[in-house]
Amino acid sequence: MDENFKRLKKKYLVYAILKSAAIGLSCGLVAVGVALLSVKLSSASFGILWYVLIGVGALLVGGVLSFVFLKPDDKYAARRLDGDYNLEERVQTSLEYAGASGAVVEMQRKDTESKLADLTMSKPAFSKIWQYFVVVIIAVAVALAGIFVPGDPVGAKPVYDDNTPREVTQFELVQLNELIENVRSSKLEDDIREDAVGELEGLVTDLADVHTEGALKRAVYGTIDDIDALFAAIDSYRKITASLSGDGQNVCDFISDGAQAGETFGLLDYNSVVTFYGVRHDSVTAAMERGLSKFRLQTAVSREDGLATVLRSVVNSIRSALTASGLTQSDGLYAALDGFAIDLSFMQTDAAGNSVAEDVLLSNISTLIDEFAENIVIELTPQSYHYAMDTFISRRLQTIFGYEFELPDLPTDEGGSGEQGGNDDEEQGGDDRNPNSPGGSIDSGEVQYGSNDEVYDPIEGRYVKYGELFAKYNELNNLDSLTEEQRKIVNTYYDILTGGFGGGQN
Amino acid sequence: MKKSKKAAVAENNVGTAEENVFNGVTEEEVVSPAPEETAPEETSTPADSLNEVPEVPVDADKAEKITAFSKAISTIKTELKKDVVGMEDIVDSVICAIIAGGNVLLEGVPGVGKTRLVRALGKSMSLPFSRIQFTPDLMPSDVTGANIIEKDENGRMNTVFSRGPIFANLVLADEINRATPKTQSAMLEVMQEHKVTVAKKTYVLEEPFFVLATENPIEQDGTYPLPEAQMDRFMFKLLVGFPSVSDLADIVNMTQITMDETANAVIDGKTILEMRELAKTVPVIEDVLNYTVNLVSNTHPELEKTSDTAKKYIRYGASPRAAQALITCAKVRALMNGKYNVSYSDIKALAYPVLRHRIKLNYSAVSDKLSVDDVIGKVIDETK
Repeated sequence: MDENFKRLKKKYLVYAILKSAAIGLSCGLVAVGVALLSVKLSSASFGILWYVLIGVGALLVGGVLSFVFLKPDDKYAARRLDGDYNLEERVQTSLEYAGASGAVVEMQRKDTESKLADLTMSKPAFSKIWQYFVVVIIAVAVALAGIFVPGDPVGAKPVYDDNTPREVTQFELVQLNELIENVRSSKLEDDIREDAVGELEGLVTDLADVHTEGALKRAVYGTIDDIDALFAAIDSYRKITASLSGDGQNVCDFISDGAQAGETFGLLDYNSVVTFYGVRHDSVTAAMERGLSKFRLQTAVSREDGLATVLRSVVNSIRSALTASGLTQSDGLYAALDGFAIDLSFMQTDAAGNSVAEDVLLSNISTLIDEFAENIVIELTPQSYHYAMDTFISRRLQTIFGYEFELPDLPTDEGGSGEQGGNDDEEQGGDDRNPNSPGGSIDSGEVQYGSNDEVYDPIEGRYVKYGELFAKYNELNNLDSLTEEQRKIVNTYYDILTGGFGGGQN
Repeated sequence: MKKSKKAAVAENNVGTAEENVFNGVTEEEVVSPAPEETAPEETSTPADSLNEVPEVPVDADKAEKITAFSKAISTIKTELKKDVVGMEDIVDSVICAIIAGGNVLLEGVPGVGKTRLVRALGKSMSLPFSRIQFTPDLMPSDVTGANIIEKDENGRMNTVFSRGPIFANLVLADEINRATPKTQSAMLEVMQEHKVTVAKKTYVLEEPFFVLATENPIEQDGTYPLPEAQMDRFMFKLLVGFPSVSDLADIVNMTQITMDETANAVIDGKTILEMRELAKTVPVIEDVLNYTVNLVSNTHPELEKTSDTAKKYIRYGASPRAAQALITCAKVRALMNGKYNVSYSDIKALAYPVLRHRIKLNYSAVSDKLSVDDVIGKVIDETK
């Protein structure tokens, strides 16, 4: 075809490039929008670079593919020219008969060339370009929706967007300061204690800027999460049990049960936590007993199925978990578990290398388990106390600010009720609490006032015998000069003293 | 030119056979007309002069022939306007059919100028013209001619073929639907093959040969509907309407002066044949060809892939001759309009005259008060 046709065809090529660019841009924007929306609905999170890569990739793929389809060939250009400029199939005929000869064909060719030479191509080809940019606008809307639509991610951290006005009350601050004092006077190790106190004091500072419900929740739950992380970093049982599975699951269960024996204590008031040094060894032992029984049963029933196989599987499971934990022999729990695994692996032969009889083997295994249980109780007791303190702080914070939490099921074992013994037993004698009573209330429902137990006096700023404080507040409550806030403080204090986890004791 | 004793047909006369001694015809012969035997005197109106025939030398450049084509057409139209008022579309279509080598069926009420049109065409194209008035008692031999016995100078009886009125270049078959099917069938061979066979002897008609048939729609009594086979041999069916008021006034004024045709000869048969050959070389792109084929296919309700309109309103679709006619006439039309290629607009414009007598509507169309042209329009809309 002649130069005029080529010139005009180039214009269609430009249009095709523009359309492809618009399509590519739309694809990129839609891809970014979809990615953003998907992330909001899941627990995944991507860096901004990923969004850029997704957008650019979709833009290139969409643009290139559309250009492949939209790129005008001679036939397309001829058809467009004939249609757009009412040339009555002149250009298409010239193209199809380009190689033909004949008088009429040659006249037709000349006629077409003269028509094309007169064309300025000022119009309609652009007329549908705007449709492509409408697509771009829609794509932009999708992208913006991905940015601004609030997500409700499953499994991700909740976003507290409640803008209901909320100011922290003086009473809440008083309670929070009381909690700080509880932690500061606790039996936690120095480092963890200081860190926990620091988190709580940080919360006090943050609360000065809280003016909405959402902001308050973010501050409170953020502090809870931070304190959880503090304890998770120092407790080795979590790192070990995270990898225990298969035939090592029973080992995992009784370790976890022992470590979390402090959860119930964490629901008590601080006095109970502190007084009992949190969790006693017998509590841990009792918590482990169920798991230990299952482990003994596992080895017993394996007598028929291949005890050696089970033992090997348990040992391998423990070894794998220890390796995955990243701990070393310096950790007591690690060392105890490692020693247990080693002893278990040599259980089947005696010192001379002869096979041990099955009955003897089972007896030896039982003895080994008892020894192992004694060893890890020593390590799990402080970790259980950490768990108790963590639970206590978490529940207390939620209670102070009125947030609900689910109470765990009370253990069915009689662990920790009134038994003395174990090491490091610093609590004040037995406890008559009925573990089956909800909330650990005083048995028989009797209310006793006046004791040597101390409570924190927010006014005095120190611990005093609560009997003295009770009398003082009772007197104050009868005065008309008490404000509503003060009256509320007093009544709440009465509730703590007289109901729930009260400090009465024999 | 020797004038035969028994003339075939005089103008407005019905041919009759004379009785003579039959000398017998020995064998089948194909007789092609000699130039001097083109047509009997009585039936022809030779051109008064050929002064204005465009000179197209035998060895003229083809490009000049091409450019002369549309000039010739416009010249013909100018001459026809002297005798025919209005009917521009009809004139265009008739000229297109003549050049394309087809026949035309005109449908219109009496007195709208059908005969005058054909007569003026004959004059302007320097082509012998004859008119056959069909009546129910017209015999086939009245159309084609017959062998008659006549005595020569020596007194011997010889068999001579007396040519019928069909032996002309332009034939007006008036009220063709009044003749019996037997007589109508005599036209079939002539219209399709341009030959006449009488008593085993075939006479080839001179080209260009063109039949313009008319049928009167209002006189339904005593008529025999044209069979589909004969209808299919007409390239076009044109509808001649009543002239407009202004045209009617012009007609009255013109005929007050003279009733004779005043058109001059501006072209001859040889030029028309050259134009016909030239039109065959007009290029058609494949897309347009496919469109034409699809258009004709979409008139067939029995096909799997057809138009919804055909399924709903058409009983019988157009024959393959319709596709042939569309392409052939489109090429002529393109040249007539100064183009050198066939376009979609040519096909769409020619679809109506080509298809309207080739498709048969069903009762649904009648009940929906749709005409053939309405249905053709719908088929065009549905064809991609």
